[in-house]
Amino acid sequence: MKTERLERAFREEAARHLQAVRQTLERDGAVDDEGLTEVFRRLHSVKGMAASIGRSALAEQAHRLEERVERARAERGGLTAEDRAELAAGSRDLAARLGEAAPVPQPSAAEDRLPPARVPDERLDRLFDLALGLSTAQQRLEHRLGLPSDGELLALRDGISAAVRDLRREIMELRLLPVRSLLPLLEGAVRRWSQERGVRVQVSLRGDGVRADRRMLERLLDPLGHLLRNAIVHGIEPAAEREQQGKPVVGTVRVTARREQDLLLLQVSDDGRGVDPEEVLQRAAERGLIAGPSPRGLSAEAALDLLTREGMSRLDAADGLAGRGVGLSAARAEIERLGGSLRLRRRSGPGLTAEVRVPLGLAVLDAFLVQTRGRTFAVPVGAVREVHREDGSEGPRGSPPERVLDLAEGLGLDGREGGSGAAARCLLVVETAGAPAALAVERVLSRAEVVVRPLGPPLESVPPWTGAALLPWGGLALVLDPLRVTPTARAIPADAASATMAE
Amino acid sequence: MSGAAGWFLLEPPAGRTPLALPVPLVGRLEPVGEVLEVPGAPEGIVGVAEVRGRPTTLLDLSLWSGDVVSRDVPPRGALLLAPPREHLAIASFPGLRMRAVEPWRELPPGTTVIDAAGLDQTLAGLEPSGGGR
Repeated sequence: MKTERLERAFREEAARHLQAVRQTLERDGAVDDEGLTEVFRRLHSVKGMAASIGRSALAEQAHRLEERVERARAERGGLTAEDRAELAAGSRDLAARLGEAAPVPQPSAAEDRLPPARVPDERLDRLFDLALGLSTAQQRLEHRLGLPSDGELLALRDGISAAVRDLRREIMELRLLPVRSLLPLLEGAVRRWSQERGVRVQVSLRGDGVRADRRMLERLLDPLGHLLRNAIVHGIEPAAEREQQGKPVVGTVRVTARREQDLLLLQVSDDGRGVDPEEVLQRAAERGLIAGPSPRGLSAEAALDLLTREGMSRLDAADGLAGRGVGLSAARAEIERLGGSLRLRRRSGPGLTAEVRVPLGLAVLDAFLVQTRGRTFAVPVGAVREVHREDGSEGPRGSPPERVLDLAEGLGLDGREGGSGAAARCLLVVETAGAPAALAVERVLSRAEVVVRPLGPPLESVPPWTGAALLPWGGLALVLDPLRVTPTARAIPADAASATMAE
Repeated sequence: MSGAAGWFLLEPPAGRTPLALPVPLVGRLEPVGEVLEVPGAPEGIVGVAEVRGRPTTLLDLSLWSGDVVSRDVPPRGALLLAPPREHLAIASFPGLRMRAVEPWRELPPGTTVIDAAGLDQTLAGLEPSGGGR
């Protein structure tokens, strides 16, 4: 199970910290102030990591060791031989306990209570699954019954609906973890990349109160690692170069987490050398990723988008760290499998920002249910900016975008009985890497909160599908990412007709 | 995964290639209703159907037998695979016979044997078709 990855990453990283602590404490000679700070920092890291994955006993033990270091510095200006011996023994004991399963807390002698319940991840997943099944059954029953005229029956229906909704939310709440849980697990890798690249980097997090489904966070660990590595390898300059440019010698990589409706927004920004879109276009042409002359109408962001295509790397020589451009494309592939998107943006200052949008949870989606050629699909409301009717009879003021992609054509659907020749189409306006575009469908049936289940391999890798929604009236509808209906809808504006994306 | 626990044999009609899966790879047979075609899905994927409240990907026997099964007739059932592949099923079309074979019995000549690794390898090698239907 993927939760084991978080545990394993914690054990490896914590073991490394504790070994370094013991080495400092057990070496010959006094532990100077820098060494003391190092010991404190490492114990603090172990404490933070343990707390973030719920290992409160280990976090508490690390905290006691940390306190001892701080007390020794404050009271005696350093560590005595006794302090060193006890701290080394404490670190050794803590390291030995890393591999233990999370213990069931025992009631203290002063209290006469049962220990708090601990629910294994697998049981929580099972509960969640049952809650989703109940949600679907309740939705379908409601749809079948319609709106009862009997007041008591109506109250009963509403009561059941509310109870199921509350149950689902409570269980979803149990699965939430703070986004900050991810960073300590990448700390070691960040340090390694920085050392190998010969740069100095500080990674910080804003929005550490934001939480997301733990299964989602597990799957974000690798993509986030790729983005951090990209920032360090391609972005942050060596200290001497930064000093010449008047920048601080220590580069900054900032991870910002924010919630936007049902989406988790993660931004990885660096203050490094940034990216020249023209250079990207040239390299993409050299690698055959775009055919024909470079499209002059291509926006800077659309050009940057090419960096996330497989085969791109800004380094002239392929080396072990650069990975031949695999990292960004691997990150994008995994993020899209989660139903999200990855975009690169230039910053107002130096550097680059990688922006990830993924659903906060994996299960319930606010969606437009649309129909075209007799088939029903679900489009996430969060992906749609506006809905117009093509003849202007409905929708907000202002003209819809000029770039319109017919969904049926984009998917290569044939006609179906009763499915073609409909009245004016509905246009779902979506944000793209270039100018806004619209997805045309025959009709928007409704907007609904639907239970979504993943498709799993091999279909989870087939664009534009991100899952299957269980419809309130029974049956399934495929959930699509409108930006991935065709490759060209995402990057190339209509006026760059001479350029096409090579497959 | 060997046939030590026996085999589950799938026999298409008219002398086409039979397929045998180790019993532990196989779940249960369930009826299916509407099957959604998935535009862009690789060849060999019949579509997605709701089975016991879950979307289930229906695999065509032709992925292994090499014989194209007619798409004019919808599948009548889904042979679910055992966890962790329970989101997958082999589509059961009219004329397909299924039976368990004890481990000590010979499989019919020409039977294609698929184990878990072979199954995963087959699926990993599928490419989106790049178009809809």
